[in-house]
Amino acid sequence: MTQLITLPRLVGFRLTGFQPIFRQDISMSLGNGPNVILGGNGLGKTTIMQAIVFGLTGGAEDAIEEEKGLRWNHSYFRGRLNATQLGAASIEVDFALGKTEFTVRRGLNGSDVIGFRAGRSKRWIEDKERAQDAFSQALQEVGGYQTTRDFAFLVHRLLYLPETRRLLAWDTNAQVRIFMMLNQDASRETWFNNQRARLKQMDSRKRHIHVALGKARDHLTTLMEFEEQVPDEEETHTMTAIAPPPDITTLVAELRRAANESFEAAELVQTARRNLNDLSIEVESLHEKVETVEASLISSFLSEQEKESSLALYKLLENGVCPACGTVNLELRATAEKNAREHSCLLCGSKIPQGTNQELATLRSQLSEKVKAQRVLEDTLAIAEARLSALRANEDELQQKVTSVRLQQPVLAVTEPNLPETTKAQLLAQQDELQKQEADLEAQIYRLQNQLRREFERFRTQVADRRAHLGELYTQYATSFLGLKCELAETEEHDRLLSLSRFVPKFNDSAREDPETCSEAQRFFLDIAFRMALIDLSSDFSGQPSTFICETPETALDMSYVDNVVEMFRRFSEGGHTLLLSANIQLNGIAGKVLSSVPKRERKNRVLNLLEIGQLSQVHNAALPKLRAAVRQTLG
Amino acid sequence: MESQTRILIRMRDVGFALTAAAEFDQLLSRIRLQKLVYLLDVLVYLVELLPPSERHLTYKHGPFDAAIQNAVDCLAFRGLVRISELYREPNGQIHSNYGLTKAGARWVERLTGDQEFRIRARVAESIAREINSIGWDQLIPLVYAEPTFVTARTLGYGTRLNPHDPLRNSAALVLKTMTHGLRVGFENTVANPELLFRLFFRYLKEFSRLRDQTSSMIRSGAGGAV
Repeated sequence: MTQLITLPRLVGFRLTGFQPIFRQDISMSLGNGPNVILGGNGLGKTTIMQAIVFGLTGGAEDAIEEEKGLRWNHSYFRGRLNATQLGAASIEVDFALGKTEFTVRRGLNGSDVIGFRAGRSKRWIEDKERAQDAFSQALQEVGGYQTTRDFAFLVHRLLYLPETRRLLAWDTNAQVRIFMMLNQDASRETWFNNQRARLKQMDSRKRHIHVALGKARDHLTTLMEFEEQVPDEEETHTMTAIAPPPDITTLVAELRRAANESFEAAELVQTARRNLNDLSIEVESLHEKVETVEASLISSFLSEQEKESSLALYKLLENGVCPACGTVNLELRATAEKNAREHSCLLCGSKIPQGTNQELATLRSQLSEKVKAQRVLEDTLAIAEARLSALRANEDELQQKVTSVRLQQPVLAVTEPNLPETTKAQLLAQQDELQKQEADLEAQIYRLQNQLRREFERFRTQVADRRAHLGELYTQYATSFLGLKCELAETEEHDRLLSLSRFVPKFNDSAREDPETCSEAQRFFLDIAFRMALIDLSSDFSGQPSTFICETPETALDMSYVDNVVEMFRRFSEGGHTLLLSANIQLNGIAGKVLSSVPKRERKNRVLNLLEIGQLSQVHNAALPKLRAAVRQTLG
Repeated sequence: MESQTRILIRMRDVGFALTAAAEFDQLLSRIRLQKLVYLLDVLVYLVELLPPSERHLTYKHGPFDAAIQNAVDCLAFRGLVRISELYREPNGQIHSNYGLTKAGARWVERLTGDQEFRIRARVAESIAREINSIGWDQLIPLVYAEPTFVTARTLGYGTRLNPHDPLRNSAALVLKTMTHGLRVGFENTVANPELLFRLFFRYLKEFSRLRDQTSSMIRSGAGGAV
């Protein structure tokens, strides 16, 4: 059965060797509710936020971030730190997946995990490879993540709202991926995502073939014109060879066959997995019934034995002898008798499970059949997975061969005008081959598009209740912010390859399909509302709180909305979540108001004051008394 | 699952574990009782029975199921289990040994009148026999070598253990691999549960030995950083 994802809850972090940005190493423990990194311009708020997210995920590489310009990794920190200290600098992040706490450590010479421990009292695993393995394993087994990339994606695109304001609210791809991941018991997110990538590749390949086909047609026309104009062979110029290498056609055919086989094998794996999940649910339910009846049998044997050996509980029932003090108490006996009549524990009255032997035999035989079927399916799945893995390896190998041959000689070399060496027959054959490839790809694309559409619709129908629940959660947050009713609407985003539905805000009777239909502040805070609603939804499933990390939320906020935003954050904190904000030092700023929900004596621990540890500029030094007064006000 | 059901099911397992240990004149301490019942849950896989649906979690001394301790305490209160050598250790931990009373042994006899319970009781007996031949002091190291626990122990306390999931590193996967190996590699060998028991315990013993060897290498500085 697929485990649901548990979002991480940030527990604390330590930054070591971050000089000269900070005057000392930094350490902070986070409590439930608001936590603030408070600092002026250039004091390192963003660096700390990025460091935490880097510690957790290793940055945002291409698998996480579609936009090239927004990708980042350990290099982000390199220009900011002393080159000599880079090797010693490290980031440790404590986080919890449910009740289990972990710490992950990364250095700044690369993005890999360099240390990991499960639980603060446990020993560190400092061998890089083992630490990375243990980290992945923890995410998979405790967090329910399929891969570390999935974890990184959720941290970057759901839990962390950076200063670049990378919104989730109108981003269909990210929304679909996140919503499917959070509902992975009903979705096949990894499959869906891989197939979408495959669809894109196929489409790109089709376009390349289309261009090549156009060129082939042009060359053919040129050649025919040339033949008409220059009948004398002596005057014919040379033309570069455009025939593909002899083995490419065979290789492509092999690759196509391998891809089809992989595709079919993947379908088999998915079907086996689905069947196994369905069967496991049945086994679990039957198992529970069997155990209830078995428990009843065990209990009746216990009573019989107690009677036979005249043990304490029997004496209570027969003579009213208290099993604890040995005195006769008729009131206690009456209670015991009443409990016995009602098939409950003689002392505490808890219900004892009931069932008959006949029922047990039937249930056991049903369970036995199901268990056998389950084991057969497990074997089938294991074999199918092994086969798929071998087929994929073969496909990759063939793909590499094709790519390498194509790189050595493209499908069609650009021909020098009027230098024909290739014959008309060769060109015609090539044109036919390309047309055939294009038609094949078109058919495959069509098939995959339909499959993905069907899959997405199936998923949406299956999670209809959860979509409605997300809508309710969102309405509460978004309405608190806007001060007027704001709901979550679902609209279709039309895409050339695959149109998918996405969530957009709806207020004043209008679904806001484009971000431009909202003001800058509305865009930003409705995005926060959407993220918080998703985090709440996940938390409702897992029963575990999570964390939202937001950089300088007060930017672009009209002062009349500050209280609404504070209310939104308060509502989120009430769910037991951890909120980590960065904020500028300001009198009557958002930080002070958000922190007002924290008892005064605790507030100091909830604030990392960068005035104390950051490198102050002349401007800061000049304004230091005012800044300190603002910090004091923030701390109440 | 209802907690009453859980405790009653565990009372049965405690009964079988204590009976099996008594066959070799052994009383079981709290920790050893947990370990023997864990192995019982692991190895019922071979006879196609399922372990209780609420399973063991990783804890201080290996796999732990609170229902087992509650069950043995209930049985003691009801006069079916005898507690001996009860004392508090210097670290605050309570030590006690458990064995069945005569009434308890009669109750287990009644239980084994049921055919599936009898199979479970026999699995417990086979486990006790294997442990007896290796040494009862090796019971805890053997459990520490069980593949599901080996994988989960680095994840901290509270990680649920499912030794019957053959699609991950687990006892079930090892047992399946052994069955397959016997079928393919040894034409005249029947992969019966008894043979698989022996092989599985040999595997646990060997794994435990190699791990100890590695640990001592690391401790002596020959193996580099942990």
